[in-house]
Amino acid sequence: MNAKRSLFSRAMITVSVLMIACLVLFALVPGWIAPYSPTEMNGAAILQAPGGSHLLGTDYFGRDILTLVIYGSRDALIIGISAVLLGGGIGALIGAIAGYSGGFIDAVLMRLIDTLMTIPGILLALTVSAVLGPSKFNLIIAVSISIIPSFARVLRGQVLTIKNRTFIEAARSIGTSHLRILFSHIAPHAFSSLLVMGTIGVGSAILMGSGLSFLGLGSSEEIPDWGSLLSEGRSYISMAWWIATFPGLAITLLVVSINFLGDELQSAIGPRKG
Amino acid sequence: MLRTILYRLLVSIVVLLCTITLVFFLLHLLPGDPINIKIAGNPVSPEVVAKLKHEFGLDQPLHKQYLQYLGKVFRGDFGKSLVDNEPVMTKLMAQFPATLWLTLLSMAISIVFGVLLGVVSAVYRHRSLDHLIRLLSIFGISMPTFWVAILLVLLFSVNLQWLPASGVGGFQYLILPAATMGIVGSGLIARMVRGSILEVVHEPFVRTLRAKGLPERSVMYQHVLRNALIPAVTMMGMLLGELLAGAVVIESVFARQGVGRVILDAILAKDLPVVQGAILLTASIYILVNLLVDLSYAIIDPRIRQA
Amino acid sequence: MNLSFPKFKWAIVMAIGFSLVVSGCSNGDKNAPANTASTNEAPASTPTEGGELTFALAGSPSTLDVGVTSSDIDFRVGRNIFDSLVGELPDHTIKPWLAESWEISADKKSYTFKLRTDVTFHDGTPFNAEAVKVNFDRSADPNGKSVYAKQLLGPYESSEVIDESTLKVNFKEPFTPFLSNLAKSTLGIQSPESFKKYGDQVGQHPVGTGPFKLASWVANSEIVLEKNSDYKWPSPAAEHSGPAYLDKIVLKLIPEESTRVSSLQSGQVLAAESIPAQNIVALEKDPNYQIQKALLPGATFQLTFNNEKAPWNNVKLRQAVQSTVDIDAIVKSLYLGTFPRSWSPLSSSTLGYDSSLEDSYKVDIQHANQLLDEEGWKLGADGIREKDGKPLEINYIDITGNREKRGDIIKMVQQQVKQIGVKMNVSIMAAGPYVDALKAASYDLVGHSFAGGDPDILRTIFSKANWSTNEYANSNFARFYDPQIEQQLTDAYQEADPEKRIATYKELQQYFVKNAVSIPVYVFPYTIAESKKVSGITFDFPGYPQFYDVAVSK
Repeated sequence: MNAKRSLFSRAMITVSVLMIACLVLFALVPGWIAPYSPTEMNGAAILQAPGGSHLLGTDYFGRDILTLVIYGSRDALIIGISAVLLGGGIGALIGAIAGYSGGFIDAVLMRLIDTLMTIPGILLALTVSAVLGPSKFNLIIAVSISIIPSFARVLRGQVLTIKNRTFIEAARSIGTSHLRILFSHIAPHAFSSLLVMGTIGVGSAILMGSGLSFLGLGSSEEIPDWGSLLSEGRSYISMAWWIATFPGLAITLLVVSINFLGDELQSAIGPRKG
Repeated sequence: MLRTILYRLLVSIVVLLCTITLVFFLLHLLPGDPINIKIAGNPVSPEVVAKLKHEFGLDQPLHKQYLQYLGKVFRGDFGKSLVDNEPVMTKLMAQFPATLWLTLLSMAISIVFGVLLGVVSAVYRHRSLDHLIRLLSIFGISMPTFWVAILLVLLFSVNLQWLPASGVGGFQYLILPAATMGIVGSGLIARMVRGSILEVVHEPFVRTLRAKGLPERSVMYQHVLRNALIPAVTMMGMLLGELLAGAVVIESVFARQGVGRVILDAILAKDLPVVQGAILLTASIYILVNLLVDLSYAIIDPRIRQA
Repeated sequence: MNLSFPKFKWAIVMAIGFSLVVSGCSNGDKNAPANTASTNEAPASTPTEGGELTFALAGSPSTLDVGVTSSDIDFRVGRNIFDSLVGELPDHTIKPWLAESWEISADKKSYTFKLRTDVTFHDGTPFNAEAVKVNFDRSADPNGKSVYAKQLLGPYESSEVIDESTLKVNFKEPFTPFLSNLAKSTLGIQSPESFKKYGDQVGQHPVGTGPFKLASWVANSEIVLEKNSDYKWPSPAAEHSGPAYLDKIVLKLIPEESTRVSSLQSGQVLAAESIPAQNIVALEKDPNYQIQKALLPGATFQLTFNNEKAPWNNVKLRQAVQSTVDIDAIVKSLYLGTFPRSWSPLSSSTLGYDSSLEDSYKVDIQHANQLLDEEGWKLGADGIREKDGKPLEINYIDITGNREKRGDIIKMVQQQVKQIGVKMNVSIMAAGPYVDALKAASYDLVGHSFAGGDPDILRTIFSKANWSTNEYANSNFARFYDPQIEQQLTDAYQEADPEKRIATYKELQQYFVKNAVSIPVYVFPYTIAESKKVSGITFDFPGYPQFYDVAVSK
């Protein structure tokens, strides 16, 4: 039974890692892989169906969909990773400080986090990006803010469980500074769960980012991201299904891979859940 | 017990107050003068602008506006829309039922399919069926909802012409939007239930039951499940938040009326009173549901009651 | 893995169940409310009476107070609730409607209307001179909230009630566009009683004299209009008399274009407006549907330079861009031939449109490069032209939403101007910052259109009065001013002789195109796609649909 499970998992891990590696490669050197230039508008080849010289077809500008999907991986990864680093970092810090300090500071910080949590993520991100205006940077900020609460909560819990262990008390009794304890003793213990949260966080940040783009709050750069490409293709769905379908598929495959790896990481850390 | 309830209630009120404050200041940072948008591109004399500003209290300093707003909210007055002068409360209450039905139906779909898939997955753990369900639920939570919505419309409305693509009406209008959100919800719940069951399976009491020679079936369905589903209840509060938020996108794609759609339109039109009111409504529901979940949890599990 | 039989069977049962549910519902939708049975036996030539029209509207009206609002969709719905004093036919002749006749004073400053005496509002109150006066005074009030109606009334001074059915409207100066403006639903007559009764909520409770009255309105969902059975004063364009054929119109509010089209295709609605190009192409081939188009009059969608700001205050530079932008390619890619290309700042359905401008210039990259070279803009290392160390850039601003694919137009223009070494920066902003940017004039290029009726719209977009004097009066996005042109714009709207008037407008159009003040892109066709069961949708002159003659066959 176990062997079968690990076979499935191993196969899936391989597929996921390959998928992510592939998209990372796309993001790093899109120009080497993409068959066309992402800004090339071929007026003679608009709305071509997949196949022939355009493997995934063309949009109504006559741009190659495959090329746009390849280039779009860059924005998706940038938004996902930076939002997690930024929002997750701030959240983790708030959680750690709250858990470690306890008392009044804890109460204040956690009420702040509770407040953020009462506003559903996408709504918060939507409001923030409307405040800031549509651009890639603002999109990252918007998504970041919405993932602060979950990181803060989890890290606070982590800190609470290890705060009173003897090795921390020992460190405290020999006069180690709070900051040092936080970073050199508590942080390593929390690292594994941060890693899991971070991985899954990248996936949900990509989803949320593309959602905002879809609603027209993304960037308006020359090369569209997946969300805005999908929103372009939406009104052509009955005439040219490929414009909306492939970017959506790309988002799904990337996020599935990330989530699967997150799952596996999780079970590696807490094998009971496997 | 009473103390617990009072304490939770107090905390909820503090959080709600914080939410009002946060939303108010966040929205007043929005660039662009709302009055300016209201009359965009049309010749209107400065006197009219001043009059409009006064009418909506926008000529006051921010802290005064805040205190006034707070005072009004406590009297149940959310102000009126900048766009059509309709009282925000009336507007939201007219839209709320549509969102509520959508949320409830998608929640029902999520719970039914989620629990079913989760249990099956746990019972057949590490076998093909489990793998399949795990894969499906990962797909469920990883697909962009707007993409799913578009594909469902393409299939069921445009090609098969089975279900209406948009609007509000009878039950058939609810199916596609609720199914879209239900796919995500089922994925979430299935994963949670599976994890929770597998955790309980390893608890000492289960080992004792097995050692006592209880049949596996009875161990699973009578003891493990009951214990595993308790944490799933807490999940409902969170799920509700997710679904309410999902409504913003889904209502827009399916052209449904609803609070989510109102929020999106109001954000784009900078209709501050409406955005504020709508976010407060969503937040209050979220807080209320979580309060109820917390309390019911406290009743179910005596260990928490003492904390 | 193979599908086991029970599961397969279950799937079939589900499928049948679904189709039953669905067909059950759609039958319900098509069931017309009870109506006179005799119409079934009526000969084919007579339109079916009764029944209801479901119509997908491309948005949600925020108010139906036509005297106050400035939004097109409000006027489109309002057209069927409110009647006007006069009607304008497509050939720009003005015909009587609620006014039986009128006289213009010798100094061209006063209009005396003789009104119909048999007209009543939906609330039963009589339509008379006093009612019209209340409407005009309300819309023209400098401290009132009216936006577009106030503009249409121009130099309005006062209205005098001569008797119950005679009204004299006075202007401060001659104002030739008045009759044409009067034909619009914006100046449709609302019940004075409703102003008193509903106050600032009157927009949610419109009361007019039109063929339909408001029955119910669920925000973001639907507006239901029902037949006004007392109606016997149809517009001059109407094809029958007496009350409307339809019992009821259900306007479904569906802002998303793809959803609107799929609602039509799935039979949820019988007709839908503002159909995107790609769907027009498909629906035209479909035997179950027909497409109706009305080219909207007014200012077409144009890319307007900020004529005040360097370097684009230089006409040579603007002409270089004019010779580079390939409008034909844009119209073909984005609108698949369904939107006509525009050659003038005025739409081809507007009075005085100068058709001689058609094909008067073409894409000429060499010429464009030459112009830029002559002006001292040299190609830099990165392919962008420079002068005095500054790159040649166009900062374009637009509002979020990609309405009518305007955001896509600019993406194409951005690539096209690269050929002549011009860098285009595109900022797509939310409504707030966009209006701020317009006010601050921080842009080089902006895209806009103005729906209108009379060629006087040129004053709206190119007169100095509309940019420098009042910060809230920004409609001259070109920030254009030339004393001589300003004089011609003024003369043209005061001129009573139609021939002279048209001649002046032609000269003006020539000027704006030759000097590349703006680059016209497309004429917007307002489109309705409808099931073949629907007949009789007509357009009033500004291009708003009228449902008065509509009949739905079984």
